[in-house]
Amino acid sequence: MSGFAALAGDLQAGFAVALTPDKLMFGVLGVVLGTAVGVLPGLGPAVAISILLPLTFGLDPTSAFILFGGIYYGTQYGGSTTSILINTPGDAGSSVSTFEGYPMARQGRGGVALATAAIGSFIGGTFATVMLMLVATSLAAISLFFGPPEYFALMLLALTMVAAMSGKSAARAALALCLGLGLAMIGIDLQSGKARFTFGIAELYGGIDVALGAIGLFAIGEALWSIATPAGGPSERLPTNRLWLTLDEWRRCFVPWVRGTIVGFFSGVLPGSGATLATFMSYGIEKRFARDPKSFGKGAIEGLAAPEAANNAAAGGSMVPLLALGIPGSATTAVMLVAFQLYGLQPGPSLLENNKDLVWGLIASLYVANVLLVILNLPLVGVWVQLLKVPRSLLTAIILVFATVGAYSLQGSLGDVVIVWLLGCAAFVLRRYGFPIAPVLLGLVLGPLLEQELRRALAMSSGDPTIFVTRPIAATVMAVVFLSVATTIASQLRARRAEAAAEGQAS
Amino acid sequence: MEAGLEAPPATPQAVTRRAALAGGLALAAAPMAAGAASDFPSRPLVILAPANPGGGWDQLARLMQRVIAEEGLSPKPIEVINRGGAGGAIGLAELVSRRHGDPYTIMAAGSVMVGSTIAQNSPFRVTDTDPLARLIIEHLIVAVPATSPYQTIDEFLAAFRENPGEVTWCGGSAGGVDHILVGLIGEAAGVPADAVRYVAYSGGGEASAAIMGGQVTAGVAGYSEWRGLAEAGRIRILASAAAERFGDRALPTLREAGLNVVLENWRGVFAPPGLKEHEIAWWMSVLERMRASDLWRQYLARNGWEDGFLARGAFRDFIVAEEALNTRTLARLGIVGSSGGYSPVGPWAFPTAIGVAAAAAGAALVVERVRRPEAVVAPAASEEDDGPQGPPPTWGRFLAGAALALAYIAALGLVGFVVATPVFVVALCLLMRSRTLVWDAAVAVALTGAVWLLFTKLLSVHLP
Repeated sequence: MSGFAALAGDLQAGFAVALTPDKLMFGVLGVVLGTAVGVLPGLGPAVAISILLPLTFGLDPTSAFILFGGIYYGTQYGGSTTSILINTPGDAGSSVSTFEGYPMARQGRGGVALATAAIGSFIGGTFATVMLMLVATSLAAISLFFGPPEYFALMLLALTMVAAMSGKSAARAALALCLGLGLAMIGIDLQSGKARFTFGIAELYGGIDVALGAIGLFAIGEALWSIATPAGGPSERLPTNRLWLTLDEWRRCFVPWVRGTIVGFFSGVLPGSGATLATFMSYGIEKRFARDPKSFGKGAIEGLAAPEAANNAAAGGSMVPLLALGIPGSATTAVMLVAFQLYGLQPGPSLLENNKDLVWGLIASLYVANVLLVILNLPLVGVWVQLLKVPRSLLTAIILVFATVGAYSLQGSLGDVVIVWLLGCAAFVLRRYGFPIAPVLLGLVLGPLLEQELRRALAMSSGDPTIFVTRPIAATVMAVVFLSVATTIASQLRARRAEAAAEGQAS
Repeated sequence: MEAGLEAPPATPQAVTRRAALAGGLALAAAPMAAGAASDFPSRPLVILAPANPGGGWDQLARLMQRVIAEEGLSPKPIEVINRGGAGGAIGLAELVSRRHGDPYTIMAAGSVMVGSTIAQNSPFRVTDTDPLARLIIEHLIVAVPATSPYQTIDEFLAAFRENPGEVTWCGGSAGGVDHILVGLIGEAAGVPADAVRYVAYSGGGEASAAIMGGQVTAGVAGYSEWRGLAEAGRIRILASAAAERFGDRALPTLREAGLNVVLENWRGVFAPPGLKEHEIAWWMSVLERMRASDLWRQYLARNGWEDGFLARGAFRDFIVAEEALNTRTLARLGIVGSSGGYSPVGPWAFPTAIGVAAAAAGAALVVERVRRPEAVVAPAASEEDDGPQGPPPTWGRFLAGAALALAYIAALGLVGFVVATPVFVVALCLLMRSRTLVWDAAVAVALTGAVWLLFTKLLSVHLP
C-alpha cells in the first residue's frame, strides 16, 4: 500500500501544480490552440508546438509543458470535427473517422457523431493518462522487447485490416492498397541511401508525407467530387436534428470505446507505430467483432467510437517512452524532447526522479486538459454543425483553400501543394471507378514500416526468415495474422456459397 | 516564400550546372538581395533547420535562436523553419537555389549532410553554400546493451574481428556519420566491408529503443544522445571515436584500443551563396558574440557538446577534407556505386513485390468482372450508402476543377496568396453555378484575410 500512498501523494502534488490559476490558464490556452490546429488540415501538433517553442522561453518549464500537453491532446479532439462533417480530415490520425462519421453526418446524425467522438476522445485520453501514471516504467520496459521482427509481424496484422475496408470487391481494395504501398516507396531508402522513384525531382526525395496523403486523398478528392457532381446530387445532406446520444447509442459505443482505447494506448507506447495506424487497426477490429458488419460504411457508430478513442489513447501512450525512457515515440514527442533539452532538463530514465514536480504537474495537467476539452467540445458541437449550412460551392472553395495552405505550411513548398492536388485527382479517378480510397492511405502509412522492419529483421538474422517464428512475441503475432487471414477467407467462402445456394433456389 | 519571379542574382562564382538547376527550382525566388545595403537586417531573420522538428540540427537552430534572443544580439527577431527529409538535401537545395543571395537566411546543419549528399548523388553539395562557422563538436561513441557480455572495447572488438557476421550495429540513416564510423571501424579492424551488418534507423528514438532492448549487438550515436541511457544503466558506452579522452577522461578512445579511427559529429552554420561582405561580417559578429556568451557555454556543457569553432576559410577547408573522407568510405561500404550496402534484401525487392501483388490484384479484378459482371460497382455509389443516388459526376466538370486548381497553384507562385485566393474562390463558385456571387465574393475576401492573418501572424507560416 505504501506504493499506492506515494502515488496518491505525487498525484496530489501534481494537481496542486496544475490547478494553480496561471497553470490552468496555460492548460486552457493549450486545448483551445490544439483544437484549432486539429481542425486545420495539414498543421499537426508537432508543427504547432515547434512554432510556439520560442514564445515559451520566458516561461518556467512546467507551464510550457502544460501548454504543450494541452495542444497535443487538443489536436486529437479537433481533427475529427471536419472528418465527420465535411469528409475532410484535419490530420492523418482522424482519416478513419470519415468512414462512419461522414455517412452519419449525411444522415442528419452529425451532432451525434461529434458527441461520440468527443466522449470517445475523453475516455481514450483519460485512460491513457491513468496508465501513464500507473505503469509507465514497466510498460516502457516491455516495449523494448519489440524489435524489428515483432514490428514487422504487427504491421502485417495491420495490413489484414484492409479486409475491413474492402467494400464490395476485395480485388479493388487490394489494388488500392498496392497503390498506397507504391507511393510509400518514393524517396530516399533509409537502409541503402538510394533514391527510388524520385525522377530527379528534389521535392520527392523526402517521400510523400502521410499528412499530405490525408489532405490530398480525402480533402481535395472530396472537393473535386463535389465540383464534378451537379447540385442536387448525393452530397446533399439531411438537416441535423440531434446533438446527443440516445441510451441505445451509449450502449453500442461503450465496448468500442474501451477496445479503441486499449489498441490506441499500446500502439502509442511502441515507438514508431503511431496514432494513424492505431485508428486503422481499431476500425478493423470493430468491423470484425460487429454484430452487423454490413452496416459499416453506412454510418455505424461503433466504427467511429473506437478510432476516436484510439487516437487520443495513442497520444497518451506516446508519452510513456518519452517520460520513462527519454525516447520519442512520435513526431510530437520528438519536439517535446528538444523542448526538454532547451529547458536544460536531462531527458532519459532519470527524468521521473530528478524532475518530479514537472512530470507529475504534466500528468495532472493531462487529466485537466481532457476535462477542459470535453467541456469545450460538447457545446461546440452545436456550433460546428452550422458548418453544414454553408452553401456547397463556398464550402468546397473553403476546403480547397485550407487544404492548399495546409499542405504549403508543412514545408513551405509549392511542390507539396502540387503533390496534394495530384493525389486529389487520383482519388477522384479511383472513386469514379469504384475503388476505395482508404486502403491507399493505409498503404502510405504502412509501406515504410513494413519494408524497413522486414529489412532490419533480415539484417539481424543474416537473411534467415525463421527469425519471425522463433522469437516468442513475433511468433504469437504471426499466429494471430494467420488466424485472421484464415477466418476472413473462410467467412468469405461461406458467404459466397450461401449466395450461390440462394441463387440456385431462386432459379 | 516571397512572391516574384526574379531569377537568383547571378554571381561570378555560381556553379553553372547547378545554377541552371537552381533557376529551375526557383519557382518563388528570393529577390531581396538588392534592397539590403547598410540597413541590414531590417526585418526578421530565419535559421533553416534542414530536418524535421526534434533532430540534432533542429536542436542547434533552436538553441541559437534562444541565445541570440536572450543575449540581444540581433535587432530583429529570429525564427526557425524546418525543411526535413533526405538527410538534409531538401533544405540544402532550398538554401542554395531559392535563397541564393538572401542574407536573411542561414542554415544549421552538420556532418551527416556531407555524407548524405554524396550517397544520394544530390544536385548540391555542402560546399555549394557559403560556410560561416563550425560551432560544435559532438563525440561519437560505441555502446552495447546493458545485458551485453562485452565489458570493454577490447572484448567487443575481438568478437567483431572473429565473427563479424554475428555482430549487428544500429545507428542513423545509411551514409550518415554513424554509418561512416561503423565503416571506418570495420576497415581498421580488418573486417571485410560486405560483412559489416548495419541496421539504419531514422531518428534517435528508434535506435535508442533498439539498443536498450538488446535488438542489436552494438550501436553508434552522439554522446549527448545516449549519455542519459548510460547513466541510468540501460546501456554501456565502451569507447569514443574522439582523438583523445574528453570530459572526466573515463571513456577510452578507439585509438587506445588499437584502431586508428577518429571521427566526430560536427554542426555549424551555412549562408547561401552570393552574400555581400558586410552581410557575412554581420553574421560572423553575431556568431562570435553568441559563442562567447555564458548561456551558450552552459548549454554546451550540459549537453555534452564541445566548442568546435572554425571560421569561414578554415571551415571550408575542413568540409572539403570531410567530403573526400566520406566519398572514400561510402565507396568502400558500397553506398556509392552499384550495390546497396549490407542487407540481404536490397532497395528494389519490396517495390518489385508490390508490383507483383498489384498485377495479381489486377488479374483478379479482370476475372471478377468476367465472371460476375453484375458485381461491377457503379460509380458514385462505392463506399457511401445505398440510398438514393443523384446524378453521377461528370468528367467535364472534374477537368474544369483540376484546370482551375492548376491555375491557382501557378498564380500562388506568380502573384501570391493574397491576390490569387479570392479570384480562385469566386471562379470556383462560378464553376459550381452559385447564384449568390456578390455574397461569395465578400466571403472570399474575408476568408483570404482571415487565413492570411491566422497563418502569417499567429502561426508564423509565410504564405507565398
